[in-house]
Amino acid sequence: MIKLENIDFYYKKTQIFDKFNLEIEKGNITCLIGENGAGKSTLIKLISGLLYPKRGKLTIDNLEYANSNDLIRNKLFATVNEPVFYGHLTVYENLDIFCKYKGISNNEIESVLEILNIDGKKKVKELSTGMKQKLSLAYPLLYDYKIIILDEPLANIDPFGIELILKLLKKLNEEKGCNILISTHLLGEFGEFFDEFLVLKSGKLLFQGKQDSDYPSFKSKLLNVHQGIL
Amino acid sequence: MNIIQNLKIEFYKTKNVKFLIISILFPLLYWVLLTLYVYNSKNAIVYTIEAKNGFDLLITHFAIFFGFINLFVSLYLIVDMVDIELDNNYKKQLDIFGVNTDNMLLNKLVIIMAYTLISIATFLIAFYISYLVMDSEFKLGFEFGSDFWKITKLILSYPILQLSYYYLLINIFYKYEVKNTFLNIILPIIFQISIPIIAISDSMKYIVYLPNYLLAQDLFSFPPDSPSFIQSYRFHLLSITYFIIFYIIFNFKRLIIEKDKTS
Repeated sequence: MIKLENIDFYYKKTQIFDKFNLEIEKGNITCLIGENGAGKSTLIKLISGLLYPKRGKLTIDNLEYANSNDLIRNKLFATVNEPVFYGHLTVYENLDIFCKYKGISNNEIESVLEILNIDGKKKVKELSTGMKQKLSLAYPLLYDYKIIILDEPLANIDPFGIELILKLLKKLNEEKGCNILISTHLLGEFGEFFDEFLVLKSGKLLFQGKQDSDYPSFKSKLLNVHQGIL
Repeated sequence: MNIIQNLKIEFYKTKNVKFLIISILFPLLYWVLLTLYVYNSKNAIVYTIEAKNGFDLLITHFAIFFGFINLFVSLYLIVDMVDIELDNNYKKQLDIFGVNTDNMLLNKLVIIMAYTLISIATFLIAFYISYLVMDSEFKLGFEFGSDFWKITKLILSYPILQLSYYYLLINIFYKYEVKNTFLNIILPIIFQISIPIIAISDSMKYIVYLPNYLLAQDLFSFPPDSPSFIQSYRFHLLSITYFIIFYIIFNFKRLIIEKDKTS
């Protein structure tokens, strides 16, 4: 469970979050939506431990970064802004380095690349942004993460790529019980895929709710909450 | 993860071939420049310093030039190795993976020192060969005596003298996320251009001495079995002391503050 209690965060003099509260339960695929500047990336950075709240308490499965950093790092995977790799190395070498860092076998790399349909011999710098987004899913496929946070993973990807990414995330959610949080401002026709929605605007949580069985009417409801972002 | 595994990863992600080429090619390039300088300039240091024998001559020239090679190669490697992480902001991804970046920087330091050693050895070998050739031509009195081995060891231990300086630079570049044209392109070019300019200007030779002034001075006044070696190893010890001080400064949070939290 991801829990934020009375979080204050600001960049120099710009206040982003003021006494912000949020609770994301286990096992869900959650969609974080909001327009540019709503605070989505900052929220993801806070949850990923790349930024620290100025005040308040942030816990991941009841653990705090201050005293359980290593434990959280073994549970939580995140990509912020866009996935990054060593461009001068091949796809395989990048994943091999990850396996070495995590102390796991590299035997699975080939099969994971097959699932993702990416050539392991290609240098990462030759991949498109969409391919890199897809490749970033290799990490949670290789390692047993419990929480996956992806910042705009559907941007710059063709509809087939989006479908593949969503299918893989569903698989990780169902088979490994991963808690998944995705930020996007392009919900479009893929809204039905998510279990829960968070709507953020100017650092405020406007809406948090479960998906209805009737998605179209639910979408209209979301639209009413935050006109123009869907 | 232990230190050896960490070192293996660092080595794995290093652009090995490129680094090797730089470590070997640049010393050779400087060696060519120096050879041209010695043969073409009447004001060259070879005529102005009273060399007792060919070996003094060799050491004199080496002391003048190798600081630059060392500085250039090490600077290039430091920038490039830190750049691997800064490129595309991989640094953040390492944080998410839970990689201890302090250990990572230490491993980078080891690799940079290894390549620097290769560059110095290359220059040294090229020098010895050329002076052997000169010796056979002009009877300069070059000998593979005990002095030769002592001085060779001293020169090869030069990266240890530079240890604290390398570590300082790695940390500064890494902490401040400096990834810019100045460090990657302009600075190395300035270094390259400055070499021939300095070489043709006799009065500039003292500036050339500056980076390794202490060591050069040590070598010039070198008589066998003198306290010079003790003095030079004192510099090594001093360098290691500086390194420890820098290490504590850069890892203060991890070493002191976080230890307090867990205790």
